[in-house]
Amino acid sequence: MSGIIVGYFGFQRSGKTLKAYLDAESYREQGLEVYSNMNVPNWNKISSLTDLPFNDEPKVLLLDEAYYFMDSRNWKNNTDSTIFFNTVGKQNILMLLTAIEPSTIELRLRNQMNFVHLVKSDQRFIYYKMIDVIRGKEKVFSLEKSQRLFDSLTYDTKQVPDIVDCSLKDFRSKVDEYYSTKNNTTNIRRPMAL
Amino acid sequence: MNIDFEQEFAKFVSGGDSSAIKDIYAIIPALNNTQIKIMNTLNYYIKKYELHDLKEVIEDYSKSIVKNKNLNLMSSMNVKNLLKAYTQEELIKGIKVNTQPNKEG
Repeated sequence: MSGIIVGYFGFQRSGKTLKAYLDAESYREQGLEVYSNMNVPNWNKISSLTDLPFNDEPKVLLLDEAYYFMDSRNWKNNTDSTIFFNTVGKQNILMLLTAIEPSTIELRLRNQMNFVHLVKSDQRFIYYKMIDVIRGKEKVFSLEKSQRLFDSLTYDTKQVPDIVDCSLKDFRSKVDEYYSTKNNTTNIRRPMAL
Repeated sequence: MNIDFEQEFAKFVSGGDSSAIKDIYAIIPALNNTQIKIMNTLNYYIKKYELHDLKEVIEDYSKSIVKNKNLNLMSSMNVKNLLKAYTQEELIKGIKVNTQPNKEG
């Protein structure tokens, strides 16, 4: 099964990180490892994309406030970004990204998103519009801002998440090393250098 | 462990009954101001004189006209920009909707 990319967009304190956290936690409770720049008990804190282990096991990568570090500067090389997306798919990574606005995330990353959440909230509720980008369907739902909801969270909602080194060059090197070790040959899928 | 992330998320969304196309069609008005005035006048006389037959005709007409909307409104640039924003496609891709000055009467 292939990995996918899901976006969560909304202003600060809108509830986007909360939904991403709930989605990640639901998979952790099923036995998946979660990797993130957030400090959450039983999650694996990462400071670089190369901290992700490479294996065929499904896993979750949650990058909170990704606009800090996932802008166009890291995505200038088409080959490196192609390898990144292929790896997310083939390594069965559920990649969750949160940001204030879609425009703050690199265009190629936005175009690869399978699902998008648009988030806003008022004093009583958090409202989500979840969009299936491929099928053109959407679903609107809400969460009540109850004490029970916030008591169930295991992360500090006021903490600013850390920056993640998203150097695709280093990531590509790790991909090559992984496939070299796995196949004991050079990576035959490697695109020709232009 | 086999988990199909795409299928799980898609299943959640497919439980919803809304779509951008349905919502946009609902926004388009079915009647112009003159027709609305006529319908309101007819409804007044239906209630005043208990014209049940006429009431059924009006209801049938209303159901038909909603499914047969005049789409000439779609050629308006303001409406096109509204549609772009509403479908979220341009929003997701980061293209900002340009506000157009309202030049139409």
